[in-house]
Amino acid sequence: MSREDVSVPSATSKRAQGYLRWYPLAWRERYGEEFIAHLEIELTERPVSFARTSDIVAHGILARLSLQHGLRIALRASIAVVLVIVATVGAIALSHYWAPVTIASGYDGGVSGVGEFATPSQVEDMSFNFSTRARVAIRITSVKVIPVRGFLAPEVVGVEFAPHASELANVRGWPIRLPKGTTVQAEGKVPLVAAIGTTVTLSRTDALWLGMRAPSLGHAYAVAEVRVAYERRGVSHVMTIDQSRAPDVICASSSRSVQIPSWCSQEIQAANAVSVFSTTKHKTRELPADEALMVAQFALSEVHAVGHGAPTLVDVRHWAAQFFPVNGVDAIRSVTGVVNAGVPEWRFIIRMAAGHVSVVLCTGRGLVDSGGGMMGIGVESCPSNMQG
Amino acid sequence: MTKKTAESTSRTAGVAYLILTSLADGEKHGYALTQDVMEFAGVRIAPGSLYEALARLEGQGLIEPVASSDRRRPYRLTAAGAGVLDEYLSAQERLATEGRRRLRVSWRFA
Repeated sequence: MSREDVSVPSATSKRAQGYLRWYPLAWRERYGEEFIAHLEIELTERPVSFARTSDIVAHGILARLSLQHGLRIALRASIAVVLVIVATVGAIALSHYWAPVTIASGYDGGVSGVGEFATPSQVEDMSFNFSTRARVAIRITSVKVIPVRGFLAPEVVGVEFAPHASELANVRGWPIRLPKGTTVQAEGKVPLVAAIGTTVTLSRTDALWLGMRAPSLGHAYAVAEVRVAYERRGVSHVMTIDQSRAPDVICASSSRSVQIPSWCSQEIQAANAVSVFSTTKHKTRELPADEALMVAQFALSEVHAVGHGAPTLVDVRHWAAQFFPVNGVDAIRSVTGVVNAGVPEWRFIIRMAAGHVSVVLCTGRGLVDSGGGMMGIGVESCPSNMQG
Repeated sequence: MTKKTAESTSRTAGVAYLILTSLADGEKHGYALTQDVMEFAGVRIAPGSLYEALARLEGQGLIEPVASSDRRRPYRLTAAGAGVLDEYLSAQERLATEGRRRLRVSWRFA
């Protein structure tokens, strides 16, 4: 009996038919019969062969892929989805790895914008939480406080790093004292460490605490920016905490009252106005008339805060120096004034930053009530007797 | 052999040329073909590879099935298939001749 004439047991035939199922229908219809006939002889001759089984299965799958359009599309779509997922996960991982370290929020949901008053020896604190998602080690090298224009910068007496310290939001004072029974203290997770020069691995809930002091009595200290210089993987960076929209103000006062002194309230208002004005000015390059108007309005507001009447030239000069000092970018070089029919008028000589061009504007044509008090104020061209 | 045929055959070139060579002396069905290849080339062509190559060669018009009452359908070489095989073998001969010449010159092979 030759190999080709061997009688085929039914079990072998079933195995051959099992192998055939790996192939698509169209292929089976075309080659199925001869393929089974071929396999029956092979299986009788060599009942077991891993290489043969692998070969049949692999070619069966390939035949399905090449013949079945829908399956091919599904496979391609699956591969595309996997690639997108891998790319997305990779991008997220990379962004975490390379994302800049940022600080976003302080207590009360962000920069406080709330003024405080303190004795010169008292230390006020300011805290910020890191918003970065990067779990990377950084080393803070310095912290610099940039004041609002025309204001003093508070003295930084300490910078502390507190891991997992977002719960400390309402803790005040310096050095930070944890009230007994606080969650954080109970968990023992707040090993405050000196931040400068210390390498820390950031977490979203980590916080940076600044202890600040207002050393000179009667002066207001306002924070426009806090610049934190740090090193990350050997590269120096600076992150800026922008307080300009709501600057923190500390007034140095000997008062122990719980009420903010009126002068401090005005300073807080002024700091906010200057800060917002500076931000807007920086973005839009508004005309210098706004400087004049702002000075005049603050002078008027000060008068209204204590009573009734019109601001004096001294008042206006005070606010001009406060907001736009002569050594500043948008300096108000000088303010002169006259009283015109009971209404004070002031002439501002303003030096514009661009090209150092001086312009002359007058203000004081405000509404005057029956008692001689000014109700409002505006900026306009100077009358002829004030020109020059 | 056209360029297109050469490229499309290249993926299964080894098995394909073994099949074309086997069919060069007459028609054979799959099992006989594998036995023949085993004898003249010492290569065992697995069933999956064999029928993948047969389907491809048939699709390219290089071989064609022969009507048969047997379940095991025979295949035979077409004129195009014979031309492709001839061109392939000629190239192999040129390659062999050049290779032999260089071995003799540089490596003193007989």
